[in-house]
Amino acid sequence: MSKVMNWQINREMDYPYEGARPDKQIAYIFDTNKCIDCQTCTVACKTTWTSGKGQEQVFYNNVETKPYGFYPHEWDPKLMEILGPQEWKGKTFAGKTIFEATQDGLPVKGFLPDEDSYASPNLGEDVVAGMMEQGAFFQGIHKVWMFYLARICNHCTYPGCLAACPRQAIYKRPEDGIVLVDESRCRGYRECVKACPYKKVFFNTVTRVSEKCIGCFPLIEQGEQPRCVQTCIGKIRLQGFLSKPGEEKADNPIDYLVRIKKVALPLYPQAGTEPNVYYIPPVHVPRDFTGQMFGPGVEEAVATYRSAPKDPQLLAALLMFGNTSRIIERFKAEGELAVGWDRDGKEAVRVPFTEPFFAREFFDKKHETYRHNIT
Amino acid sequence: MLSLLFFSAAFAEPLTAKAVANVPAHELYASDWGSAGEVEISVLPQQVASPRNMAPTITKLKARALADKNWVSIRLQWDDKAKNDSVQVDEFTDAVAIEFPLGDPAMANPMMGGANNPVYIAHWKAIWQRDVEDGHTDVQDYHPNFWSDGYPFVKGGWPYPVETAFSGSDSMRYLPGTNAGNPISQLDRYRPVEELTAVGYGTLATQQYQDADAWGEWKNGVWTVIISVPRVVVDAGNPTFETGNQNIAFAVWDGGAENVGGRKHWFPFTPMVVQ
Repeated sequence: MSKVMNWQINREMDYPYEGARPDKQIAYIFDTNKCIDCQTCTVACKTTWTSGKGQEQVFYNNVETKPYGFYPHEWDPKLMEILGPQEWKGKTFAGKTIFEATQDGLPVKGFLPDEDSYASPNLGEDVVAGMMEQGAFFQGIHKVWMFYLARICNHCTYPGCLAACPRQAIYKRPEDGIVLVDESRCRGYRECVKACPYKKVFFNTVTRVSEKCIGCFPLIEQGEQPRCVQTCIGKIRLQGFLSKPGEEKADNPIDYLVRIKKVALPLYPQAGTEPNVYYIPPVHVPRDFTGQMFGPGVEEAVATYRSAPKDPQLLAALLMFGNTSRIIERFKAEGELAVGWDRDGKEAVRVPFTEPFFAREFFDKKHETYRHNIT
Repeated sequence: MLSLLFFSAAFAEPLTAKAVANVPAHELYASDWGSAGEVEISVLPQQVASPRNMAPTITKLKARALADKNWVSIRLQWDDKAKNDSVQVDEFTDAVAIEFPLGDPAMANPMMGGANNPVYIAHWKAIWQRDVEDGHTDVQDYHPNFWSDGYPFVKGGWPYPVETAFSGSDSMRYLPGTNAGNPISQLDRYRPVEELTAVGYGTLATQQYQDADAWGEWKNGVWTVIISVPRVVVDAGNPTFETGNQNIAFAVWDGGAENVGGRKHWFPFTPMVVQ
């Protein structure tokens, strides 16, 4: 095992390979507060990449309802169970990562879901955390909660799947950090399926080898955001590139939101893989739950998120979400406008902080009919 | 001394490939097999390299060998209470393999060979046997009541058998492993055995030319598998079997115990005599 620096757990940790960060790291930010579980991302991904036979249960992208939705079934309670009780001391993880809690000489601690775990992609969908008292819904704010968690491969800096593959059939691209399975080299051992803490490597029963999200790399190579990001009607997603620790750029929206404002947090950082899909945590969910899921920065992230209306730069960064298909490499606030530029320096986004409000007459004189929607 | 013990072992009587006019390569219980001397091999759980087999389930392989002018055939039998010939995410196939050194027999490492001493492996898989006998196992074989709205660019009708419906290049793109030419993902299989070469851990590679043959059957809790290797082929990746001594190693996988890859039972190189 080598010692590598994992900034998300604020310490060095064991990893089977030498640390080698890519030139730039593909990264995503998902705003859980905006997701409406429409599954457009899931369908966009499915129709693009996994419509073949043997891929019926392969979802590179899925959206699950927390706390009772999972795909595969109970993937994260099982992860918590195999790792056991763990502790954060402040911002530093004092427990054991999946690379440090290993047994039997394996490089990664994991588990293999059974076939039935993949049978119900939307089991638990829209199920809330507890029973609501009668009439509570009509009495204003209530304490019963749920939220939607959109999930893809995290294109981890220290991928568990890559560490576990005895054939080195999984690799991380040095140019953008995308993690890929070499489909010609995999022999279907499923060590990667076992090892991925997020269960985002899938086994195809027809081709008998593993598959995973490819980060829509043909789009990325053209400066375009992935399909799941482009098609998100809730505009909850932003894809870009995260700089190496210590090389953050304040005008890079991903660097700004993840490392400078710390408003977007990694999913289960305690697993130790340094995942690169970052979540703006739900503001209404008990901190015990979100703290376990997103680490010790939740309170601070929620407070920062709530301050966005009074913070033009933060607001501008958040307005990069869903307003262009291009990957935004640079942004800034210009007065009451948010402006973003792509890798070619071309302006790709220019949106107002506040959208203009139009109200139409209730009665449409031209068509002599009443409108149902006047705003 | 320790390394020699690790690399090789010997039985009281070496496995002898008895000369016959024609080896019964697909006749698992032919009388010729009874006339060949049986060697009992006490296999070991592979616990040298990760991933290891920490829960061994197979203890013995029984081997007999026959040879004619074209083939050397090894018949292997072992107890396995369950027939595992399918793969799903949590299902693994039974399998057995024989291995021969391609370089210096004295230096060949049975653990996947080495850079200067490659090894030849003939690997029979129960799921490939099923493929050959019944066609490529498909989604409807695992899930008879499954439904899918459709598949892009396929031919024919429901349930769109993968061997025929996905024959076009457009539809093949949705079978990533197959489209990439992965031998594991091959849809039209004629032999249940794969010929491979290895030069160390993680280097296992399917040979370009597949010359070996095999046949197997599970009956009453026992697998019986014959693996036949041509005595002489042009293929440089194959061993050549002159009359005389040869080294052979073995490996066996219990799919029901999640054996796959390095999670196996094995036995190091041991002498074999080819008549």
